[in-house]
Amino acid sequence: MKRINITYLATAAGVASVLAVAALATAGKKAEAPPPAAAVTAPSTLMKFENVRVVNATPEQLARVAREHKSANGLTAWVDPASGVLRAATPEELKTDADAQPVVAETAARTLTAGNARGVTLDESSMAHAVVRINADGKVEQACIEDQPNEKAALAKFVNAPEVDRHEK
Amino acid sequence: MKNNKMKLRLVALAAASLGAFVAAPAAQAAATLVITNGNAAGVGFNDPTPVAPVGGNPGTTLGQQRLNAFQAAANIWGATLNSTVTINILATFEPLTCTATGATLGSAGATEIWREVTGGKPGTWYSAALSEKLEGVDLDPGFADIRARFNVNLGTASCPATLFWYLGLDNNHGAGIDLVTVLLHEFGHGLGFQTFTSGTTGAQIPDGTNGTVGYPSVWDHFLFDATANLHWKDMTNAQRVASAINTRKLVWDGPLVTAASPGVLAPGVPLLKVSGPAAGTTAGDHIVGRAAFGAALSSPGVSGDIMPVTVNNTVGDACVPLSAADKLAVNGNIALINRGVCGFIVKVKNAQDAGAKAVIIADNAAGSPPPDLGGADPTITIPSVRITLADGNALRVALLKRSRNKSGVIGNLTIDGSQLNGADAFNRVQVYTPNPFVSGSSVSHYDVGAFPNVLMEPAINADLTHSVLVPQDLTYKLLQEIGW
Repeated sequence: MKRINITYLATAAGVASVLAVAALATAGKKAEAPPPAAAVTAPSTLMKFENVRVVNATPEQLARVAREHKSANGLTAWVDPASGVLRAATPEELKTDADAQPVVAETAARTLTAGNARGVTLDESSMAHAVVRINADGKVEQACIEDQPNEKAALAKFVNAPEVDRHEK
Repeated sequence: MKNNKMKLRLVALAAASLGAFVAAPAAQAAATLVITNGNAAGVGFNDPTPVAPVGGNPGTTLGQQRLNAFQAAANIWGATLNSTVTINILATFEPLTCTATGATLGSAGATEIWREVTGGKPGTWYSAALSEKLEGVDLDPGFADIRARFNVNLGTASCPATLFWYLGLDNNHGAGIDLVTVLLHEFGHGLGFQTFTSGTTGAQIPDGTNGTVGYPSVWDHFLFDATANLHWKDMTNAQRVASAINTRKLVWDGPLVTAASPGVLAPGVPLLKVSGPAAGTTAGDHIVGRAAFGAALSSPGVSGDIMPVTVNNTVGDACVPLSAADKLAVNGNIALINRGVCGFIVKVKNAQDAGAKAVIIADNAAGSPPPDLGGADPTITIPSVRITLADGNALRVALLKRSRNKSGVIGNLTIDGSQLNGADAFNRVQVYTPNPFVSGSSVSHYDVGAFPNVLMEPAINADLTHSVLVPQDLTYKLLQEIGW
């Protein structure tokens, strides 16, 4: 079965997104410029809530998200050799893939100071991962997984674990 | 059993939860959350695909509806928490991992942790958002306090096509996955509902200034092991590793959550009580999984000699009508049957037909707590429970010296009406400590024994409301306990 790693595609998409936002910012300054084909959702078109605001990311923040994609494990796609069409991984393939890839932090940990306070940045291994699976009986089971290096490992752990709610045997 | 109760609870709380949602953004605004849309143009939150409004979400593009759902969840927290410092969430909808039968829904968490925070416990880690609330300033301007990313591909052909996000705001999700509920849960972790100490290794996070010496999370000040009689902050790494699998013996002992637990959790914990002259080391209370079929457990419950059904690893214990010897053994007694080969209802029905007054299914796989027994058969009228493999093995040892129809090991399948579901005898809420350390879920959740279900159990249950407050939920109480 052919596997392709699409990390570079994700990175390219991230870089493209930065360029797209930069292009939008430039376009906004030119009265004669046509509207962009794909826009960002304007916060003014959203529901209004008392305690929440929505803002669009700055180019620096978009670049940070793109760097996450670049340094994370990347997404592995599985291709059906007969049809050449992308298909989903089996749980076994997912586990093998998760086990094979090294743990890579999204960003290197930074040590922080502010007054007397001392801090550190956290990587993906400190995140909580919401996962879902369809059990053999068709029941949908959701769980929140922590203490895993990344979301791919969290899902592999979950889909390969025994079914918690064993209905029949 | 729990599923049946879920339905009743859903009916009872539906109106209240909808009302609470509508009323959530009340005048008592207590904190402001800023959601930064980190998606590129045309994708994720910026997906221009036209959609019809759904469940109180008036967005007309997919991107708008996703952002509205994010806002709705964030607003519930904003209306609940108190902070003068804005809580910043960097959010994206992006491709995450999928298989044919599973998917990552999303990931979220604090981006930074801080110690020596004004108003906090010395030498103790706090999440970024809580640190800033305590300090009263943004400790790291320009950086988000919480990172949240969710799966943009859910529901597409290669990412369980039968699963889909429900983007309505009314909790009427049907077969869909309620994004608001998932966000409430994951934002809860990002706000500080978690320890940063590893349950796998027991290691605390260092900050690089003192070698590998780590510091406890504020969570670890309240995580109390009733067996070791220690808080996590006072344990060694090895002790914490053992504690993380000390099923239902690790509790949250903060006074706020403990005082609130009777207002949220229902009394009536199912138990197997073992006594009698031959009980030996098995004497005492054992945790059980309930059955979805047969008579419900009650108090004082059903009592009798526990008698084993002959082990048959080929046909399966009690998978066929019982032999004459097994009939003599279980008639008028409580049958002990090993799990495996055939369904639970087959085993229990065969035992019932042989005259058993109740059934204990001993698990055939290691693990605790024992899950519930599934299945349906209206002709089954006796109660049954599941116990762990370890408890089953111990019982079989105690049953070695028995007559053909008496064992001297007396079982009582009952309900302890004095104890809350999900708490210990002192109303201290139990945290999730499955043994083995199942699926990576950790002590940063309430135990799955909590009933009614609460938001911060590891399993995100379909009957949850959108409330984080008493009497529906215990999440905010815990956050208050750690400093919110």
